[in-house]
Amino acid sequence: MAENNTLTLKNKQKTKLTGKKVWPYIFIAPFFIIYIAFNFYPLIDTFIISLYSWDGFGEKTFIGFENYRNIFTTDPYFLMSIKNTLIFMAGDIPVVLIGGILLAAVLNSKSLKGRTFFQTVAFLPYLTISVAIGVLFSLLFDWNQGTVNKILLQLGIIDKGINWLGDPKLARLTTIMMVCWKYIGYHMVFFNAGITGIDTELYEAADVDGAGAVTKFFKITIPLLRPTWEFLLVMNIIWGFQFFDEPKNLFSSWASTSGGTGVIGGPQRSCLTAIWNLYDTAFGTQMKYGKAAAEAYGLAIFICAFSIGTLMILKATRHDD
Amino acid sequence: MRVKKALSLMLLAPLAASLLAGCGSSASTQSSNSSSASAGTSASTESAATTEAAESAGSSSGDATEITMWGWNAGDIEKIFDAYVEDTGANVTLNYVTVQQTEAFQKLQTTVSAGLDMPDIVPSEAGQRGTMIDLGIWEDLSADPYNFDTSNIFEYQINLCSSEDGKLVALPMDISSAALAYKKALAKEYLGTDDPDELADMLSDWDAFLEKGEEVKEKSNGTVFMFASLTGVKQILDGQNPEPVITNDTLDMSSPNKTIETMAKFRDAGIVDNLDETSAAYSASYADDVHIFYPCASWTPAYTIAPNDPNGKDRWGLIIPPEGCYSWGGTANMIPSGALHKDEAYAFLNWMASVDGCKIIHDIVNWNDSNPAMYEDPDYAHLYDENFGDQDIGEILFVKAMENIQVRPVSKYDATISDAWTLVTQAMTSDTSIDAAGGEEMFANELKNKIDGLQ
Repeated sequence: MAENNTLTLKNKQKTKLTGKKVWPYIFIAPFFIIYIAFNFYPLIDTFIISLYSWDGFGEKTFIGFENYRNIFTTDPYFLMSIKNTLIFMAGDIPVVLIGGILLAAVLNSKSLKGRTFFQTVAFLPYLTISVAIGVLFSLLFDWNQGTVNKILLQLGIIDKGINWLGDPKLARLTTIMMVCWKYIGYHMVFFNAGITGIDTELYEAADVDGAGAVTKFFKITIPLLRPTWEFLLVMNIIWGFQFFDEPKNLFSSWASTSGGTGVIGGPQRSCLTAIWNLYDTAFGTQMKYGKAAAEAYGLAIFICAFSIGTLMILKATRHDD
Repeated sequence: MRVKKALSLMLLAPLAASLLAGCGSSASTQSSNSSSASAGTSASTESAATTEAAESAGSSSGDATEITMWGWNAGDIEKIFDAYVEDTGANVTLNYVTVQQTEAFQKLQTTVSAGLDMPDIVPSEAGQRGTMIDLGIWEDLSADPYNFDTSNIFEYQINLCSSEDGKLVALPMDISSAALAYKKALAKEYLGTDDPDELADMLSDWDAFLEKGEEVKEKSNGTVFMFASLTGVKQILDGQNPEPVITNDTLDMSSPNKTIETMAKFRDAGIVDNLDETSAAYSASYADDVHIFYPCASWTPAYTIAPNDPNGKDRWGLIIPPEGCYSWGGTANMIPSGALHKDEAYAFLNWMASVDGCKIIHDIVNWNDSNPAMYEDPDYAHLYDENFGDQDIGEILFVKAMENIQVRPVSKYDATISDAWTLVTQAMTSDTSIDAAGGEEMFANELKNKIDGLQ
């Protein structure tokens, strides 16, 4: 009897799997197939490659974890590129977050006419392709003929041109400015959506209580936008570690008519980001696929560590609230 | 919940790790799969033989064979290919894939790694050629069945087109001899003459050049420079010092040191401006009245000076630089062993290098071909460019340069060495506190950091 019941149950389960309930699995199958083919398989294969010495053309030589030992102990570029990336993140994340929130608050002011126009203008840099931004900023900040230097000279602020793109520190500063210019508008859109979602009754009640604009901003707007800026903060950390095309385009040789090449990583490698270093290792001057694969995993460790750390800090501060 | 969060964060790993997606395909998929067309390409510069070879390679079946060629000069190559088909009757068509000059190597890398079909002809720019040649995936064109006649190219080019074990794996498309261009008005005003012979006598060596540069600086109150960029100085000096930088994994700094020391001397003397060679300001400098001298290869008048100095008619002159001519740039074509139509590809390249092909190419696109026999005709060896007035710049670039031009054999480390040069030159330009010793140390460290086991 018990056996019959078990068989009946199994049959029912089989019927369920081949009946209506099979469709959800079919619908979600493409995602998993694509994920396995384009994410999971490369993830595993990259790890396997990282255990080899391989230039992408010839024979692979198994070397165990030598590539990992190399990037963390011998190779000066991996940790330098992580350091550079962190400097960029420390420079641009606060600016785009604070700038974005201030811009959203200002452009949401009811007393401002043409809000939509200004919001669109603020968002436009984000729509500009990175190559164009790189070209634009390399022209603006050129040592000899850049517009910025010409303006500063005409205003008498400086007496000779500043080498924005040749000095390591200034090159970093220029890169940070470029990133902020591009992404502040993008962050504004998120904060704008968040501000729009705040109940206006809260502001009306604050008005009744005699709160000023600054008080309302810090006591209502900022706290209620917390989910937005928390999300943007974590995403900025992830995006920051993937920072590549903007500095590469800024220091590329697009203007050369004599076959000149730009400096990899900018002046004295000061703008060599983690991904740029990885790209150069695999496809640039080194052609070391195995080492580049190890760098990809090393980078993933940093991304995970910083993201988890940030989430933990955010969680702890949320608890304090 | 915490575990879920951690798991979801761990999924971030693919974001970074999957950047190498596609690198996993085995390179073994690029096994040789040559065309069924019969080879029959005899090694001969005779036009009849070249034609016969082309016909033989391209007409083994009724359908035309499609040759896939990469490159960055579609307009000229398509014209040349049409002329080739017309001249030889070869039953071939061209699939020309435009590739950025600086990205040819990366495209090759990804093609091999992904196991895709290799093109039949791959171009290589001088700076990357050594690294590309070292991959060992090319046909030896000096061996059977090709047996390319090396007398069809200048002797100095053999070093630039051969692997370290002496196999000729590339055929040059043009010559790369280089000299020193100058703006005549500035030379007349600050050096007292714009006559090329007088200038060459005056600037007999780099010490004399430095001395004259200091005079120019004094006369112009520092507003006129001998060179626009330190990169130009490096280009000439490094070209004149052909000793290999790395031999048997041992770094030999004698050649770079010599170059860096002169660069530092010129910079410290204030005779070189601080323009970045890759900047728009440098390109614009060709049209100004501030910078006198520029390195000038045989391709420079047409591809660099003409577009950047549109009002440059009769503004320029050319001399042999102090201590002799050098090689700069130039493109050479290679045939991958895994190409599908190697015989047809070789027939086309061999025709381009032949006297018959060179004559036609010169007529239709005015290239400075690489076949020395062409220059035995004095009329052919002339080269006039309206920016250089009535000066026969061919006399320097095609005749005098060939008398003693020396080149450094290409090396698998060329891409790395080239990057180290860019870094050091840019750093020395931007930071005058970096002296010759600092530049040399930076150069050596860069190479040691990137090349495993370098002594």
